[in-house]
Amino acid sequence: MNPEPVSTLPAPAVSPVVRIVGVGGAGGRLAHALSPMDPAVSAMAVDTDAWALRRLEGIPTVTVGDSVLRGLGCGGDALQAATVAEHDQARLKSLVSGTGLLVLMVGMGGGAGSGIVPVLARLARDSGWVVVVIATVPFEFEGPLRRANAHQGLTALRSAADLVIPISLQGLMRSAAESARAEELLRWANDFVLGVARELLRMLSGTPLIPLGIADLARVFRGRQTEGGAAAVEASGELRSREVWDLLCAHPLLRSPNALAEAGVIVLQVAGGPDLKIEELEWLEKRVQDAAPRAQVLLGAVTQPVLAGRLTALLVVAPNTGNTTSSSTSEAEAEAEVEPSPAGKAARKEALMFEDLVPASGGSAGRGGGGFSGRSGTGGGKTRSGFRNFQQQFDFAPRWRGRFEGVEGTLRGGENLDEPTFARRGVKLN
Amino acid sequence: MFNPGQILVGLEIGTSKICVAVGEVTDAGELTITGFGQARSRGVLKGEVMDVEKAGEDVREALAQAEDMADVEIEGVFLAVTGNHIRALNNRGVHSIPTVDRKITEEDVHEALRNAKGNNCPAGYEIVDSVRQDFRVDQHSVYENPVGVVGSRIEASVHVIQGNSRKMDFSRRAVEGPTPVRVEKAVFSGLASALAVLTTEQKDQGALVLDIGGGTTEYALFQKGLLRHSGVLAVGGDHVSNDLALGLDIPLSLAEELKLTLGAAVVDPDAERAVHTIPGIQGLPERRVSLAHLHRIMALRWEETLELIARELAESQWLRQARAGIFLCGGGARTPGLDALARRIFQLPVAHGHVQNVSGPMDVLENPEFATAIGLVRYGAMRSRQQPRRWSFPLLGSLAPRFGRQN
Repeated sequence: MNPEPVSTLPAPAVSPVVRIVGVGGAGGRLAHALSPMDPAVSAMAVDTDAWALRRLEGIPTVTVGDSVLRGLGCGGDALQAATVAEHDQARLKSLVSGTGLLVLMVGMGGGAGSGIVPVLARLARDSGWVVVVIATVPFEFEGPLRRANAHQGLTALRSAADLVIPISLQGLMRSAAESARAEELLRWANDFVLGVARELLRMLSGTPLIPLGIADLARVFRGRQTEGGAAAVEASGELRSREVWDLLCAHPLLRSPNALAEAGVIVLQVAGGPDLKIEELEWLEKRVQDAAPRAQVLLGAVTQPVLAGRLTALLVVAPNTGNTTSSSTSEAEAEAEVEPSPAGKAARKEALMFEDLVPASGGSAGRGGGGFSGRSGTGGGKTRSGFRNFQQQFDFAPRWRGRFEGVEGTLRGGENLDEPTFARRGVKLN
Repeated sequence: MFNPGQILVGLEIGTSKICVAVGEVTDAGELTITGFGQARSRGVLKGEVMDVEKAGEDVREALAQAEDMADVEIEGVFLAVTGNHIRALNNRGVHSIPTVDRKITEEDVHEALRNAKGNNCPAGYEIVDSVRQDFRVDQHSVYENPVGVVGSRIEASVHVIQGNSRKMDFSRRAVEGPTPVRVEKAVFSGLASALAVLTTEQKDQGALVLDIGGGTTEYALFQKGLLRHSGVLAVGGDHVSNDLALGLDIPLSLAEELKLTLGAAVVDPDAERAVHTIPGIQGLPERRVSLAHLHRIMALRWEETLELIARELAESQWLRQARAGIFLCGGGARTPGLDALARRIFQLPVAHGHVQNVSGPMDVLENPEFATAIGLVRYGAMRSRQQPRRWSFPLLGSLAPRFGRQN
């Protein structure tokens, strides 16, 4: 028996629909934390663990696979979670009736999150939803099982979702102070995820100054199936637009030197109070355009009275999925060969470091292969669906900083000034 | 004889050195440096205290030296603060004149200043300094001192310098923790340096002070006697040493030594083929370092640093009007060729800043590294002179009162 039947879910709103679904333990808690922020947004949680869902008071919940697992969870077995999710398709489909923007929040690594999300994303996309997944990637010390789950889940998601925004906890840890406590770090990671989700919601709920809606997101992300980055920041004061830009450039999730330069699509959503100035929008848009000359930049702006005196910005970056068929690793290597500067060497090292977290090519899911059943190693990055089935990865490791290694960086205009100037400028010392 | 009312002490916990200056204001109002202390600095990176215990030990050593030399017992200090957390902005605050006759009083001015000062201070930050600028009455006329003017609305403009409270507490704890000395006031080090090296006339004419330290570079731009723009770039001499160590693949201590002995901020064409040989120690082979590489690494770093500051200031209309020019101080100012580089980048006359209108040991007054500590003493002297007044604080010029009430 289903302890909390699907029929208790609220009927989808007419338009536009934004639905937040937290999947798994961490995802459910994130969705629960986000739900009070905007009553117009429906948040819900999906898990295999009925007991964990009961703690999420105030939001609708769905237990998947309770006929098999009896609500006790999948014990970290992502394959089992994917199997029961496929079995419970009807129940999951009811979550995505209608159409709109679906934001899936998930902590990759556990069984439920890694197994269910690809299935749910695929079902939602097939129903016409624009699917954005915000996924935390586990720490390296969490062990091979969780890393494998995350790896497989992300691989499957690339073909199932429109945009995957991975948030590497290991990357955040590198950016955090050495003395940061585990609890602080996790709270920090949650804040990143919630910040991005909150700004996505603001995009749709604020009074539009420069409208940017679901249709725009769908147009640029639909079919891209890429793994991008996102950052949400806020500043106040006279120089708030500059501060917003500095914060965006300094953001651990966009800190990769090429994150913007190699972007294919960038969505910049700015929100402010009634005092929001056109010059601020213009200035920020120009900074983004300068930093990402090859990207298609979509600017949106909304106002909300509650933001008086403040400026918030959301930057969603999807890498270029152009004609190249090389993987990120090989691109990084090729770059390092052209420019054997210390920075180049560092970039190559980072690419290799990241490779063991998520493979850049091969092991990709086949078309419609939500979950793990459709997994196949195609190699070379070619897919049956015709989509580029691998993505460039954002690296999260710091560059070459010598004595400033491990300390808070001096960030200006997207660069960490603690790194040697000659290395950042690619000056050769022979 | 020790008189606590007249002894003022400035303390700078720098990235590479701790500097203390003890000053005394004579009956004629002149400032004399009577003692100084200096100690190596550990536990400080990019201007911020990272290890309170080590920094505290070094502070104690420098204070003890200064006490011995000046023959005083230091009870309180003006403490320089800097770091990446410092942010400076120009704020505006308005106040409606409540009286029937609409005549602006000192209270009204104070209220407008208070409103301006408190704006835009994020959680976790505190106001380090606030410097009043000009006033508008009914959005039209501009006044330096609007007391007595008739109007319905007064708008005050204030330059506010804010700092992260937690990071500033680290600096305070390094002083107050291990010693019975109290911090009288935290002062932005860029402002303190400017107070030391600029004359009233230079402030009126327009001048930029660049204090290039081990971990940070502070800047303070004056025009018409007022502080118009200030800030910190958390890049200094340590970054140059680090670049050299990484670029030349040598130990940091050797990089520091080469920077001081052979370094330059511009590439010397004569050194293109020159090679410096480092003798091998403890059986290691000797090393040969290209001077061209050394200069290029340093030039790139200094050029970038100055360009970033120039870009920051380019948005301020005041830089172009800095007719008195640019004054360099701090340890980094000793770098050969830095003045020429600054001249090329800012397109303004550049000179080394020397402490002005202060008497004392010449070796201290001429040392650019002591500018901040001496500036703090001057800050204290001006502050104590102004304390009886409730809000006005004519700190930086001879015109009308220009500073808001200090924190």
